[in-house]
Amino acid sequence: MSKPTSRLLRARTHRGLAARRWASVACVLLAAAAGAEARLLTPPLLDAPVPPPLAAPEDRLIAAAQAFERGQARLALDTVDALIDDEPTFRVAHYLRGRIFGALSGIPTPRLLPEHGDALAALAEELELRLARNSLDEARHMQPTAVLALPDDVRYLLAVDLSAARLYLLENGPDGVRLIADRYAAMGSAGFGKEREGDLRTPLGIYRITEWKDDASLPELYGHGAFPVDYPNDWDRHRRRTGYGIWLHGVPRDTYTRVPRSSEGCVTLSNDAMAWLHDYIDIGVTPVVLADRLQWATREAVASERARFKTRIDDWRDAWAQRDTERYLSFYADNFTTEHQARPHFAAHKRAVNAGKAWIDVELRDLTIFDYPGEDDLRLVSFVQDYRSDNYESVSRKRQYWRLQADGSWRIEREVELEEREIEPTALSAEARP
Amino acid sequence: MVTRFPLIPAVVTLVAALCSSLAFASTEEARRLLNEGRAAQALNVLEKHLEGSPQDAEARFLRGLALSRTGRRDQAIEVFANLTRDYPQLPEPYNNLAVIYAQQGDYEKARDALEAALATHPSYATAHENLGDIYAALASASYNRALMLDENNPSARQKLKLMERLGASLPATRPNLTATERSDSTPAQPSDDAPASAGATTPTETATPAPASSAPAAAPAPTSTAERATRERISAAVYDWAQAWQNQQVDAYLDAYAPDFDPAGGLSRSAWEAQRRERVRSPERIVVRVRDPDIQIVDSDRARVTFQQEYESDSYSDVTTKVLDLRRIGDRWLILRETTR
Repeated sequence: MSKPTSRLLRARTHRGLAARRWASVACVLLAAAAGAEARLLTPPLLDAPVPPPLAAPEDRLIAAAQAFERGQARLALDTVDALIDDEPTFRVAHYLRGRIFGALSGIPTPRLLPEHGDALAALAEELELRLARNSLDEARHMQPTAVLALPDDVRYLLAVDLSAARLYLLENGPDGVRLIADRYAAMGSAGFGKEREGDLRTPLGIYRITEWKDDASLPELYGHGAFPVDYPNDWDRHRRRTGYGIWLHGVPRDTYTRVPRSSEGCVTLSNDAMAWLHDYIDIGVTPVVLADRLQWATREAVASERARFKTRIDDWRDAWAQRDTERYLSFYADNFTTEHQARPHFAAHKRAVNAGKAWIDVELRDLTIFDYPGEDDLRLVSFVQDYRSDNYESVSRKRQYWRLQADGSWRIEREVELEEREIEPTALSAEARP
Repeated sequence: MVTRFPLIPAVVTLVAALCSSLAFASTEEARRLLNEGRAAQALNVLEKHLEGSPQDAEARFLRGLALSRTGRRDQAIEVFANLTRDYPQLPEPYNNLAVIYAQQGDYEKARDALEAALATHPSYATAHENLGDIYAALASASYNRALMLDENNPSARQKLKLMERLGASLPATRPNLTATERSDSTPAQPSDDAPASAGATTPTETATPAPASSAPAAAPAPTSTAERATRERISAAVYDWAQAWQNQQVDAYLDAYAPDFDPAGGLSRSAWEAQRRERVRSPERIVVRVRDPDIQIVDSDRARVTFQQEYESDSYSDVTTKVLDLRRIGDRWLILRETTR
């Protein structure tokens, strides 16, 4: 057993200081109250040094756990005790404290009721995941490979690595996305890969935040508030996935965070994370990547893949604009579908339409490219399409799903037109539409 | 009542040497009474002595022990806390303070006290061992908070069981004992801590021979202090029985029953024993609490103890009113009949 060191005494002093700090605040308040009556002009007791800003609770937890792993149990205890003083509902901090005391006691952990054993195992998993957190310094020049292109009007995006229980806030810029910060994020109790309503899984996919629900409008379960996302999206519907109400939300006030697998399919964050996140979210715009596992690469590496893939998209656009229908159709996979057509009907329709055109001009803007989570080599490509031809003009928003084929080429497996607005409705027939 | 640390009935010889020979006689008398389980009488002797010599450290220390033995923990805390202030270099008052805090469930304070004891005596083995159990209790308490369970949950109580083990190893590792204290660590001698060392001690050790203490109870008109001593012996017997049950020490548990114990429900003694062995052993864990014991002394050899029995195992829990009829056989109080109301 290690003997008590001065660190222990320091911990007491630290706690004592905190108490005195509060006491002096109370004194100021009392003095202020008394001053109102007695007109005592006592200077406020502000001689105590202002403590340095404390690190985030998770950083303090990690510092404690690392001290413990180094064998510095006293330092670990002091750190975790101070953390618990500030965040008394940080359950995993209590768990770590239990581990430290358990190790100090030299007595094995008591046998627990099975459900308590499971609950402790969940906290052990949370601690492990938090400790495995990537160093942000190392990640500064990296970005998730899944995020290939974003329109300029998207300022921020969220990417959640569900296996790692981590949400990343990323900033969009001209040379790719840049990591700003990360937070612990828990998922559904049955993990990820939602298929059915009630399967307690968090979906995998690319979503968008649709609204903000504030604390006052919600039960306590959701804590500070909630950002619902648009599950099921068009790909989910294509996959016949069911369920609804997938939100990013806070936690009830009796707990700082929830264990890694704990919700009915939502992503839960600490309430302070929700409050922090609120300033970065652009409702209807901010994308959310829900991935089983995020891969990271340098921004340069992602930029070169983006350039390569954009060329492929541009080849498709060019074939269309050139009215080279067979080359254009070669970009579509054999199993291609739209919401209404399979490939044969689509091909016949395109051949007919393109044959009737004297010229076609297609421009794409607001290009978005994501590797699609939970799929093998599938890319979501969405854009606003400005289409002009000798007899028709339109603006539409398209979502295409490109898949890497056996021959090494990327082809379109699915295409969905989200909205189409016809421009200058001149005399043209419906079947003349592209 | 399940938290039982052995208190250290010792102050270093240094302190004892400071006492006058007269004081020494009084404290020796008190110590003898304590050893015989007559804590209330010891308290009388000590309080009389302390009126004349209020600063006698050893007498104060023994008074702390006597107070804790007679259930007056708050007063005992005050005594030991004052001793730590007056003699911060002595580890024993810190240790005993810690033990009483632990008995009250205040493990944080217990930890502070033990760590203070170790700050001056880093090699103080007893404090290390006690601290080990306190750490284990703190681990359990932290896990409970992590699980958002309240403090009365089974895993916390489980931890208190672990503390019992510490008591068994205590005498061998206790340093700085005076000659008289050293004698009480010998199992053949009366344990000075019979009511408290239940779970982990051997049946022979709990069956402390105490002819002096039972004799007054046998007298037609027992003095109130003698009766109190008898009550302490009886309540110790009941607690030992509950401890053995909780610790699933079947032999010690069965040893609490008289040879002519009459099992309820027409079972033979051997069939009953077999059933009890099975039922006491098989649960993963057992918690037994004795609440509000009422001791009626029928005569010099018979007593009836009525209490609320809280039983909890991994598969079952209940609260019943239990009546134990006890008979004094030699110097032990043994269960003659066990009924549930």
